[in-house]
Amino acid sequence: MKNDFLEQVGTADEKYIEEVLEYRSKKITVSKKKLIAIALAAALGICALSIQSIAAPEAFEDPAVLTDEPGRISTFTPSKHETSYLKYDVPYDSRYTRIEMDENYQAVLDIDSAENFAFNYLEVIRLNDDEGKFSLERGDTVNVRIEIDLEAEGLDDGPVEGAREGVHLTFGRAVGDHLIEIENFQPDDDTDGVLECTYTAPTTGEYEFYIQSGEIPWVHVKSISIEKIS
Amino acid sequence: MDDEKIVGLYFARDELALSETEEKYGHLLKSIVTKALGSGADADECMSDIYLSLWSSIPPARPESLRAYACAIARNLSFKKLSYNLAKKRSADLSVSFDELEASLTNDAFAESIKKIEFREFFNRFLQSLRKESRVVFLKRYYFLDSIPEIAADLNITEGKVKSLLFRARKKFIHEIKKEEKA
Repeated sequence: MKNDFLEQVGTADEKYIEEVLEYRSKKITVSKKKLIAIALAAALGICALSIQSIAAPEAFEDPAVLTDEPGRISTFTPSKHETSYLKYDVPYDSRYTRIEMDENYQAVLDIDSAENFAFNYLEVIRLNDDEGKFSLERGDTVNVRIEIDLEAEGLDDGPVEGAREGVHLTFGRAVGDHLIEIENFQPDDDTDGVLECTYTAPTTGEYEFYIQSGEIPWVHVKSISIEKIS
Repeated sequence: MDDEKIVGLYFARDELALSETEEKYGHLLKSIVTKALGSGADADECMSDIYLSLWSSIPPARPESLRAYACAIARNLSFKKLSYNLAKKRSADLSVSFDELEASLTNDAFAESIKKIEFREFFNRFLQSLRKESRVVFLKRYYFLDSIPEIAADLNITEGKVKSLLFRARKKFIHEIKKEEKA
C-alpha cells in the first residue's frame, strides 16, 4: 500500500481543516526596498512584471535595470501615473536575472505564465571598512563570517526543487558595477547558523566585498563580519 | 441554515439534518470523494456512507465545525474504500498522481515509522509548526488532494511557489518524523 502518507494526513485536526476552508489568498507585493533584485533561477519562459508608481513623478528619472547572467542589460522606465507592464523573456541559459529598482518603485510580480520559475527577493549588501574599501596586499587573507537565522520570518518564496543553485547566499567581490562571486553558500536544515569562508587577495589593491542575501526563511542574515586575518 | 441549527437537527433525530447538510456541504464532500475515488459508483456509495456516518455519530459527537467534521468523515471513508479497492486490485494507486512524493514517504519503511510513533499527535504538532500559508498549501494538496494548478489558482500564487512550499514542508516532515522516531 503506497498511500500511507496520504492516508495519515487525514489525522489532521479539524481546526486546521477549517483554516484551509476559510483561507483567503494574498497578492504578492514588494515595495519600499532600496534595492530589489529578483532572481529567476533556471527558468525558461516569460516573466510578466508590472511596476507601479509609489512616489513623486520626479522619481522616475532613473529606470529599473535588468541584468541577466550572460550580461544582457536592459532598462525599463515605468510610467509616472499608471501601472506599466514589462514582459521579460528569460533566456534558457540564465541562472538568474537581477531586476534592480529603487525605493520609489513598487514591483508586483506575475509569474503565472511560466511553469518553472523560482524566485527570491535578494538584497545586495556592500561590505566596506570605515574608509569604504579594503586595502589589501597580494596574499592578504580576509575572513567573512555570516550568521544566519534559520527560522526567521520572511517572504515565503523560496526556490523550487531542482532550481536551487545560485539563489541562496553569495559572498563576492564588487568591481565597479560588476559582482564577482567568490563563495556561494547554500544553507539547508543541517546548517548550524554560521557560514564562513576566506579570500586571499590575488593582487595588491582596493577591494570591495559584498553579500547577496535572500529574504527567504532559512537564509535571513542576522550579522556579517569581515576582517583581515593575515 | 447555520451549522449549529443543523447539528441541533441531528440531536433531535430530524432527518432534515441530512438534506440541510447535503444542500450546504454536498458539493464540497463530493469533491473530496471524487478526487480519491473518481466519479463512478464507488463515489456515490461513499457519499451515502458519509451521510450515514454523520447520522450515526452525531450525537454523541457535537462538532465545533460541522464542515470540517464532515470533510474528515468524507476523507476517511474515501480512503477506506480506496484501500479496499487496492487490496482487491480494483483501482490504480492514488500516489501515482502525487509523483512529487519522495520515496521515503511512500516506501515500506515509512509505513513502519508511523507505527512506531503517536502519529496523530506528531502530525498535528508538525502542522502547528508550519507557517499558515505552508500549512494551507500542504493540506490542500495532501488532505483535499487538490492539484498544484488548482491550489495556485485558488490561492492566487504561482505554481512554482506551491511546489516550493510543498517541497519545504515535505522536507521538514521527513526530518521531523526521523527525529521523532529516534526519540
